[in-house]
Amino acid sequence: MDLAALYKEWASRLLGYMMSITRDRHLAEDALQNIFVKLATSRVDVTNHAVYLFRAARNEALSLSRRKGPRPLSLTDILAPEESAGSQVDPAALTSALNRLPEEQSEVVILHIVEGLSFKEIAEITGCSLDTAASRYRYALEKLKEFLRQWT
Amino acid sequence: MDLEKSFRALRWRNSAEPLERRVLSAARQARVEQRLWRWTWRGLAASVVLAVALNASVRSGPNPSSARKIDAPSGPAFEPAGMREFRDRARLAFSPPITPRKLPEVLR
Repeated sequence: MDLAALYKEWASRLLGYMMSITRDRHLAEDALQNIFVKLATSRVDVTNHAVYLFRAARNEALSLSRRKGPRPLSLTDILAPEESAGSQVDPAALTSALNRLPEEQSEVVILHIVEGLSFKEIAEITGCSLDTAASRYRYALEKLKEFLRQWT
Repeated sequence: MDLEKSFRALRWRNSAEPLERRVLSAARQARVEQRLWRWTWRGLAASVVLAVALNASVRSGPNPSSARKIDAPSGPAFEPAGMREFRDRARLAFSPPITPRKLPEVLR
């Protein structure tokens, strides 16, 4: 397993995702290191890197964030729109709206829209069924539309 | 309003690049330590097996009865009662018959 190549391809995405769970940069950094240490010492033959890595990231982030109390960061500190994207919506409004969602719904939105994972992959990562992942996403979009309508 | 398109423009603010050296160094060190432990345990296991095999070969050695002598006391002092008398009678019973010697011609 080429650790350096894996790191270059996945580390920033995993770090962002773990920060969205822990809401603490230092915890997310520790979790990232733990993941790569486990990758280096395991003999697992990974077929789907995305599912394996995001599931490991989720488990590690949840494990570390259970031990610590305060969560200083909000999603506004973790996510930002690409400058060239030309979004129709105010960027601050986007992340604020996302921040107001229940965690399991914001997680599905992040994994599906930001990371581009399928609902099947999201179900494997979060340990829920395919239908649950899809319905969380649906409810999340409805709430986001409502929040953004209030913003404008 | 295309909500999904708007959200698709979101990117993670933080890069993992500054952490690369530290994370990969920790990962490689963990891998080396794991291999070291694995070989240490294999060496220990091999030495235990060798010790057991050597001990077994010493015990079974060129004079197997010596192990029995060590384990069980033997000799006249440890014979069951009456065994000596039995042995003497058996010796007499199974010894060859005494044939009278022929007298020399001179004395006949």
